[in-house]
Amino acid sequence: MFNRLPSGEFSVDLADDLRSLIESLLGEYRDLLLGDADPALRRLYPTAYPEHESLDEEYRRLTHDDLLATRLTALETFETSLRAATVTEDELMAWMQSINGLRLVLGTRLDIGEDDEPVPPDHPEAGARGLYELLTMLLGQVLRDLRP
Amino acid sequence: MTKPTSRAPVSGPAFPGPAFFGPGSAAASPPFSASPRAADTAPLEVFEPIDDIEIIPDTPWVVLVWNDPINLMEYVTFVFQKLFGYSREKATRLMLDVHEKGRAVVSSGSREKAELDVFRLHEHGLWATMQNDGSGS
Repeated sequence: MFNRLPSGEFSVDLADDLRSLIESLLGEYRDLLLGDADPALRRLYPTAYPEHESLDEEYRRLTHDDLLATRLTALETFETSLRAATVTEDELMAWMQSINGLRLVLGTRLDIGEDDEPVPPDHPEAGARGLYELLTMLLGQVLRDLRP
Repeated sequence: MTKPTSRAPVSGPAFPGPAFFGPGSAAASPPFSASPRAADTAPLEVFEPIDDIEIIPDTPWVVLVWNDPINLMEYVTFVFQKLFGYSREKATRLMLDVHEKGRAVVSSGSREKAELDVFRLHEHGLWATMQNDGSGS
C-alpha cells in the first residue's frame, strides 16, 4: 500500500473511494476534536497523575491545548497529503497518528474490548465496526511499511 | 491491545452514511479515579495542617503505560522506539509486558522529565500515567 522509494518518500496505492471515505472521517474527527467535551475523546486526554488530583488538574490545564494542537496539525497534514501519489515519511507519520486517534475515538464509542466477537451484518453497529476494522487494517499497513 | 487484521471489513456497507460518531454508549467512568495520597507522603512533624497543599516526595518518578483494548501491539512498539529510541527488541519486550501484565514502566527520572514523557505518550494516544517510584509498581 505504501512503498518506500529511493528518495525516502513513499508511493501511495489507495483507491479513490477509500481516500474519499477517509476524507469524510477526518472531517468528523475534526468536528469532534473542536466540539464540546465528548466522552468518546477521553482516551485522547488520559489521566497523568492518578494519585495526585491537584497535579492532574494542573497537567490537564497545561497540556490540553497542546495535545489538541498536535492532533489538529497531524490531521491537516493528513488531509493535504491524502490525494498525493507520494508522501514523505513525516506525512505518513501524521497519517499514522490521525488513524490511531480515529481508532481511539471510534473504539471508545463502540466500547471495544479484548477479543470482541464480530457482529452480524444486520447489527446496528455493523457499519461502524466495519470502519473500525478498516482503520485497523490501514494502521497495520502504515506501520509495516514505515519500518525500515 | 489487539493484533492488526489483514482482512478488509466484511460486515456492513463500505459507506455506512454520515454520523459515524453519532451518540454512542461510551463507558461513563474515567479509567482512573484520582485520589490524593496522604499518610505515607506526609512529613513526620506537621505544625499546621494545610489541607490544600499536597506533599510531593523528592524521589524519582516512573512512567507507566497501561494495557488498553484499542491500541495495536505493533503501534505501541513503534511508539516506544520512536519516542525513547529503544531497540526493537527492548520496545517489543516492554509492549509485551504491557499486554501480558497490564502495565510496564517505560521511563523514569525527575518529575519534569516524566511529565514530558507522559505528554509525548499522550500525544500518541497511549494510556500513560506517572507516579513516585516505589509507590505501587
